[in-house]
Amino acid sequence: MKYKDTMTIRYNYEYNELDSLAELLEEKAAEGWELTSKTGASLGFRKGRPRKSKFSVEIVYPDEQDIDNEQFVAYCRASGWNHVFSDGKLQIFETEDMEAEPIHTDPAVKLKIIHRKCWKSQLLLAVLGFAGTMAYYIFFLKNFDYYNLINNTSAPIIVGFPVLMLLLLLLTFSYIKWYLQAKRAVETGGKPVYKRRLLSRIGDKVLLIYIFIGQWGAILLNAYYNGSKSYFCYQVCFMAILVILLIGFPIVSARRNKERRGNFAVFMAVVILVGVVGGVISPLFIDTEENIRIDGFNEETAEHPLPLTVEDLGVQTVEERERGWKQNGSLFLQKFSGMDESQNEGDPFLYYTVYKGNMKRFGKYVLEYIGFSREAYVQVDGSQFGVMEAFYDQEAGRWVLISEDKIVTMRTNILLNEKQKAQIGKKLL
Amino acid sequence: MPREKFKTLTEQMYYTLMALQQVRCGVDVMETVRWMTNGRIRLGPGTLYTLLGDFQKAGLIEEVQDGAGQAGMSSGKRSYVITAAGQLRLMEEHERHLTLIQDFQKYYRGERHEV
Repeated sequence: MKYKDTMTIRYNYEYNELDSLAELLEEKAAEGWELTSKTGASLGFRKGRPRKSKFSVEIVYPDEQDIDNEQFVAYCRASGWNHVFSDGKLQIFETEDMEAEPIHTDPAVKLKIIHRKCWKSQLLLAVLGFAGTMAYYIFFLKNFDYYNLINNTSAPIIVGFPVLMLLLLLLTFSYIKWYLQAKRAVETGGKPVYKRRLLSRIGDKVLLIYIFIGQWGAILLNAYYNGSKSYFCYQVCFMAILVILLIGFPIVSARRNKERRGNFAVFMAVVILVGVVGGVISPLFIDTEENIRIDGFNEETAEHPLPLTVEDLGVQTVEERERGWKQNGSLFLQKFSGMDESQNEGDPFLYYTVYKGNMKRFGKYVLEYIGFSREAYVQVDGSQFGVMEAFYDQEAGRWVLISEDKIVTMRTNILLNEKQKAQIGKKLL
Repeated sequence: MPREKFKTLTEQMYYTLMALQQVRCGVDVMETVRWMTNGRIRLGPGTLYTLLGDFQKAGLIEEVQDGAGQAGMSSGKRSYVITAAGQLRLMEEHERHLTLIQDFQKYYRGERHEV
């Protein structure tokens, strides 16, 4: 994102890849960009003077008497390094003296500091990866059903989850391999490499794709079919937690920085607000259950005539009948339900629901929404209804009629003849 | 069996302790080490900062409250000096170096030691 005098870029890195971050800052400095903010992987720049300079990104563990790193900064200044930015334990220095001594001249000391910072997060990744893989095997793989998978609205999560867990484990193994190589280099008089590794770059992209496409796509579909506000709210809050992890732990670990503590409180308030508002408002556009957008429901006759009644099918009735209709809708789907029944058991009854997709590409998901399974039905000649496909479950007396833009589910104890089928097609489709 | 910390000293550690035979602040330590080694040993500020912290925790050096009256030093600047334990450690390291030299001189003269 770039405006005239400011720019924000996202640059993800591990703590053992800080030289790559330094190189990035050097490139930006040569173009005239000055670092003004850093929140996790998000770097903010301001247009300034192009210059050739060296950057050094260091992790500092201050002692009890140097909480604000004054001593460290003073030592660096004496060596020609100017302090540019602080981000938690990360300190960024810059010098235009290309002959200035590196901030760390003892490779063993630097490696010790980097490893101290990295090993806890790597251990957490390993535990999460292993626990996630075990949970996935126990709760899913043992009862794997391909058909259920492709018909499952959680498919993006289910398919993406093992990829994510594998990635966490790979990142951990990658770090272990790097650390052993670095240690060997130090022992043999060499220097470890603190550059960005290929797996980090790939992992960053995979993580983003999984979270923002897999998760968000799954959120919409799951909330749509579940119609549950609490479930949707949970998904949004889960996403918010992932966002916190993505932008880095510096905000979460802002215990010693008063200004950051305030920002963290604001950030958490925004996250909770987004979760609550999203959970309350968003299902209004997705939920199709009866608590959303009811236009009317009437069990009495005459006031709200049904589009199709038992009498429309030529069946004479003398008993008192109950008729009613209900209409709901959402961003993706309109649903109209009608009923025509009597209180006497065995009398003709007719229940039907007409689904119409507001967006054509969502129409095909209605069948899954209504729980339609081709194995439970017998396909019959749809032309009699004037539709593309028609299915009948004789045992339950259920019909499913599929036209180009509507789907009708119907249950009746009337044995429909050709004329009645044509009437149904005319009235409902 | 994990190696005991500071069991052997790197050159940077060695010369830092040497420089702290007198009370010095961190910046002076960097300059002193460069002078003592004719520029051969470079003590980066980050390395120095870490070493001073580790030495202090190990009891090899101690902090000296620096008076504001000292010329050229701002008040509150932290200075350090080697402790008795640090002196002992330095001497042990020196003895170790002498042992290395003596063994080399023995071997160079052709004397063999059957193991």
